[in-house]
Amino acid sequence: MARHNRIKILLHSFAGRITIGVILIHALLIPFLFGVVFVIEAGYKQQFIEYVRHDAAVVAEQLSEEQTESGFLHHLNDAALSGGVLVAQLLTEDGMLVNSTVLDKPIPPATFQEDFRFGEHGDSVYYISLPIGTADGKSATVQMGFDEAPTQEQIQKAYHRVEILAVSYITLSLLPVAFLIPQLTRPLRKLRDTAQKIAKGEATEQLYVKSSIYEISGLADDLESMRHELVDRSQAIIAREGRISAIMNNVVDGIITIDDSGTIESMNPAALQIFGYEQSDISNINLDNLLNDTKIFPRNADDQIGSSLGKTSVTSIKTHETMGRRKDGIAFPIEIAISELTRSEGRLFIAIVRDITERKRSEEELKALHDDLERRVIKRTKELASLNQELEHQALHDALTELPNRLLLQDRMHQALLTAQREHHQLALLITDLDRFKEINDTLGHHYGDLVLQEVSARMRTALRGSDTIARLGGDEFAVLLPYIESTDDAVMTARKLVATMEKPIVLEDHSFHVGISVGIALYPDHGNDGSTMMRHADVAMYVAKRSTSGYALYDHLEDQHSVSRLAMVGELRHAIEHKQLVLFYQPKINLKEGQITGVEALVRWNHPQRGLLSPDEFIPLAEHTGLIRPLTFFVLDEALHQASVWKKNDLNLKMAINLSAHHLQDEQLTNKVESAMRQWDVPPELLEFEITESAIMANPLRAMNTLTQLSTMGIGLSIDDFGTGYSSLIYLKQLPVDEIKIDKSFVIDMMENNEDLVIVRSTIDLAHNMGRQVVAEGVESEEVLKLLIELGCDMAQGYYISRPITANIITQWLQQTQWPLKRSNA
Amino acid sequence: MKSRHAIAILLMLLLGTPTLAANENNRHLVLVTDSTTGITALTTSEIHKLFLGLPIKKGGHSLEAAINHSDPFLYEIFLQKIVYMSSISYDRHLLSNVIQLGGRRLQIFNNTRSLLNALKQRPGTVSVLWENDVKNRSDLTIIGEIWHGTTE
Repeated sequence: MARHNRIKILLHSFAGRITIGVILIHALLIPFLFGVVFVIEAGYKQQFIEYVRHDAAVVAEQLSEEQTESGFLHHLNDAALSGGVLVAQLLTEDGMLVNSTVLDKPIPPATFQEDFRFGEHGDSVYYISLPIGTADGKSATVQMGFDEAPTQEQIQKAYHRVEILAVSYITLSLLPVAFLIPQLTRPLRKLRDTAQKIAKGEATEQLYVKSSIYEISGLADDLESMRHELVDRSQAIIAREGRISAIMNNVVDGIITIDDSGTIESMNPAALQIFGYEQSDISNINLDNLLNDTKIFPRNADDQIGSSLGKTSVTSIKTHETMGRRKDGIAFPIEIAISELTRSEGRLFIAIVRDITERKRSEEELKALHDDLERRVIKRTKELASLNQELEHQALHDALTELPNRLLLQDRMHQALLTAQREHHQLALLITDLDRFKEINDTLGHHYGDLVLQEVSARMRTALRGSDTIARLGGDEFAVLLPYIESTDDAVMTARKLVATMEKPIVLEDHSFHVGISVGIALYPDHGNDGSTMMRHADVAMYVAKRSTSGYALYDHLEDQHSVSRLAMVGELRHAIEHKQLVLFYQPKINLKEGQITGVEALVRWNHPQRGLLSPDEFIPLAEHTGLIRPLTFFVLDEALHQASVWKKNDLNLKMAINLSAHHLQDEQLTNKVESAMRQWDVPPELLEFEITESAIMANPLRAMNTLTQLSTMGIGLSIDDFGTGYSSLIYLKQLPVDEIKIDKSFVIDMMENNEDLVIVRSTIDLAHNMGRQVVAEGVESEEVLKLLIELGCDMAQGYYISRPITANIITQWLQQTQWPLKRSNA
Repeated sequence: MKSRHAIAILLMLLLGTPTLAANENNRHLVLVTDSTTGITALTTSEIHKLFLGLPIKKGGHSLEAAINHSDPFLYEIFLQKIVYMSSISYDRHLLSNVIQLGGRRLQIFNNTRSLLNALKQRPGTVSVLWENDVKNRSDLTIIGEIWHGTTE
């Protein structure tokens, strides 16, 4: 057995393999050498046969020419004397045997055995027999025997040389092999020993193998590099293991490794401390000792998360909160993160354990706090929601009337427009403005103004449907949104209802107020398809409504164009003032008691280049609104005084009445300007009179009082214009330094048919007289009215019956023709 | 007793077998040609020249040699008895003869049947055959014996 193993080792060793290789090579080469010898042998034999057959044929030829025995003998001896012939004899037909005498013995014919191949009969003699025809006509046979020994010796020598050559060759070949094998095997053996040492972990010794063979020295270098790398890696692994061990020993969390059967493999110090065990206890405990519930470990193979057969892998980590059990049996809450490591030797569970007793306690406290906080938050959220709702209500509603404000109206308008567009129906927007509300507010204060607004909003609500929206836009301006109307008539009807709600006076704290309302109507889709356009158009319509008698107006694009052109008109008006395109007309005023003309009212007209002569109603409001009223009035003052000066020079002392707007009463420069103009045109103050409307005075009564007082002091006459149309305090009027009161023409014109107007006219006359003021009636358009005014005791009259407003050029002519002569001054 | 008889029989068989074999191997190598040529014999010199490829006329026929290469032993006898050369020399001689004198090489037959057919089909063709191969054929004529003896 041992021998068998040695052979096996030899066969598998490097030296054995090389030796076998050499032997195999020679096993192929040496037969080749012997093959060469075989060829040589064949050559020798062929050469021998060639010689034998040729020689025998020559002898036979020679013998065939002889007749005598001596002749035969002679040739036979000649043949025998040539090299290598052992036998030469002639056997005649008669049985005579002639043998060469030079040879020892003849061969009996019976034993003569002819050869045809070299060495055929093993007797080292090649016998050959050739027939010959002798000269005497008889046949004979020449028999010769040639020695094969020399040729055999030559062949033997060739074999011998080849054998020597083969042995020498093998010997010479094996010697270098024997020399080279140790050179190969020695370093290989050393490399093997070193590799075994490295495998055993003894890799500290440096590998040194001296070899001139490149492959071996290269292998040695590679092995040394590998050894060096292994040493470095081993040191790195040791260092890493040291660090891991230090971490494991110092980490706060417990780390436990458990095998597939639940046996504890290791526990770090933190884990031991958490569970109250000693290092020596590890071998005696298993997973059941540590955990109340061990089902969290996927012990069964089916439970594993990922299959990792035959390789090391870590599955995903699962974290659980469960109850742990200390050595003393006390349960406590833990957080455990389990990862599964699959190795070739089986599964390993790594559990990272943390004692969460404190955390649980904190969590419970935190939960209690959280619940309390949540309760508070819910309560506060409700409060905030309520407040938010209130704020939202405040943001979207008017505080005074509780109506939606402009913002909410816009939103509802937007929604209503979308619905109308989608459902293809009409809607209407109504914008209202209260008449004379500003006077109430200014006169009686904001308290009454607010009460009026509340009452107005309440009344307006009664005129609307539940689906309609009424909003306060600001001041005394309201808007009504009718989200669905079937026709224009629906909107007009609502507008009428709104106007009707204001017919009854508003009674507040013993005060009765008559408040009018103007309603502008814009319709979707006829007048606009967006909120902004609808608002603007309803606003335009509302301004038109203010000038109408019905109290409402439907938007008309022509009116709107008119309004839009106001901007252009402002520029034109300014140009007209600067370039004196305004002209003055004069309407005479007569003294009814004396029947004489006492003065004229200067009335301005605008001679517009394209539109012709425009009445004051068409541009005075614009001038008041844009501030152009000041230069306009000063233009009128200048022109009127100029005309008065002209008339005065012509001995026509007509008192010139000029209208002042509310703006002038606020102008501190007014008196200076008037004084300057009078001085410029040399017009005395008694020939000048200013007419001021009730509303202009009431806009700022104190200021008006101051201005009027100054003018009165200057000796200029003052008159209250359009009396009865505005709201004014009679008590306050009494205090004003006015000389006369002009009853509005609306009362005068209809007083013949309307008893109420007559009452007003009469009362006004009486009141004015009682207050020491004179009364002027405007709008006298008939003789009957004139007579009635005379009966009522009216002091002066003005109107178309007396004269239309006429230019200065015509008024001289008119004076000559009129029934009312000019009152001449005493002077 | 019985064993002695058995040994005696065995010895007789062993000793008798070579004798029987020798009788059976007693062979004659003969010179053969087609019967129609009328040739009955050739001299040793004519045979020698014929198989060296030299032109030979006999009985109004130009003779042509056909070399029997079907049996190595027969061929060696032929070389030794007729052309007195080794096989290498004979091949070389035939080649040299063709090169020097022109004509074509003697035909060589590697089996007996094709040689017999050639002898029949081409009158004047002469070849060497074992006597047994031509003994019962009337279309061929044995015109001489080259050798007789035993073969092993």
